[in-house]
Amino acid sequence: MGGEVVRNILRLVFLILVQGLIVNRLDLWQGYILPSVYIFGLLMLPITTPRILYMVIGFAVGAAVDMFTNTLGVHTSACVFLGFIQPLFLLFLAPREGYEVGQRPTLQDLGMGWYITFAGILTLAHHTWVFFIELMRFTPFFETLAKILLSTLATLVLMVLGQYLIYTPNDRRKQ
Amino acid sequence: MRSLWQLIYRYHIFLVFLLLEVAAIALLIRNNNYQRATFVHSANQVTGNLYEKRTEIAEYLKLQSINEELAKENARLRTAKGPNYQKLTDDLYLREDTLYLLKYEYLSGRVINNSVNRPNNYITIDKGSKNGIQKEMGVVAKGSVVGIVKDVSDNFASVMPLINTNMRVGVKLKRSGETGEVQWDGSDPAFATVRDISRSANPLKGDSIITSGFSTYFPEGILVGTVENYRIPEGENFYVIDIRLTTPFHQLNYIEVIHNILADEQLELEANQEEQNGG
Repeated sequence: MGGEVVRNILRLVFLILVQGLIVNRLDLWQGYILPSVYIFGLLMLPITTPRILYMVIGFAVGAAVDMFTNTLGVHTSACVFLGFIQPLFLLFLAPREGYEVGQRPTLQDLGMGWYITFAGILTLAHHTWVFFIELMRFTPFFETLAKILLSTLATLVLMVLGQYLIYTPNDRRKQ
Repeated sequence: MRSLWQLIYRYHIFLVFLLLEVAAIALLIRNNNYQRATFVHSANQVTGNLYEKRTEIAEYLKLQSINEELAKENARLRTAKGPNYQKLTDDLYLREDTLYLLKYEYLSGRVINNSVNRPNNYITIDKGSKNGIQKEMGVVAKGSVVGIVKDVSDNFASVMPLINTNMRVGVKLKRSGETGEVQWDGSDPAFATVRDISRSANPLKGDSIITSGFSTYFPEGILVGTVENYRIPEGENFYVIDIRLTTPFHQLNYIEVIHNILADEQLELEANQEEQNGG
């Protein structure tokens, strides 16, 4: 259990640094693609995490990311929102017989179809929140929508590739 | 009373959600306010030092282009030196300290973080209050406007550039002098929009837009951009002018911070005036 906590904290710290020091610097397609890879750390939180903890962790992680871009409140509020809906979707997408003990919300443990649905919806929700709240208005609407969709796709692709690089299907049984 | 506790318990997750969301949005609103005071910004010691380390690595990789830039700047400055000028008349000029008062002082700095792809971009520089940088100083790069210092820590400062939708700078048409205000719309970092230029103006494509010098941030005449196209919207009395920004926000390396030595005096006087008008 303790190892699990440390692993999650290290993963979050690492992803915040990657986001702040590398990903934010990428200027892809004149700002149309702005992936938020750090939310992978939030989506990887264990399925059994208490609901309030999801939101508290989201607040802290979002504030850390905002510190790098001087957008205090933007990612903070988006991650609190993410932390609110994440357990709801975990419940909604649960297999008929429920999650197995020790099962992680990864594509290796729950399959590609499950993961794309789970991560896709949550990433889209997070990105929609970030882009519109940063603008503080709904114009330009379609330009922002395009940014949201392209960035969501980029984040999703990076998260899927990242899992192929780091995790193996047997990982869980070894621990 | 017990039923109240039951109610709170039943919705406690949603209540925590609302509480955290209200806190986050409050931070956001305070952050967007120009006159904010918060310690959580990219000029703080943690992100400041991280950004500086990264810049050191990145700069090593582009030393050549920086050298070229500096060499060009050197050549320009050497040309401007006194011995290069030939005397045109034999009249004597005495430059007395009592006739000229130094008003603006330039402090150089290096950009250690810079974003261009967000609606509200920021720049972090490696000079802070220890180097004499203060809030609300103007920032320029190679003679064109970059932005205004928004926060300072001991060793770093964060600058709100022109390409931040919360930023406005007083400008005028260089040729005819009509004043207006430039603001960025959040999309393309190469262009911005000037408003409030009176319809008596006669802008032409390519006209220079310069700072008006009314505010304490910038001296008069610092280049902001050039006119790209212009129109007067139906039923309005002012031009809306799209300008091409002169500052290459994509590739900022070195900047200069302007210290207006007389700023406090001007601000005090203007505050007095407003007080009198108000009362």
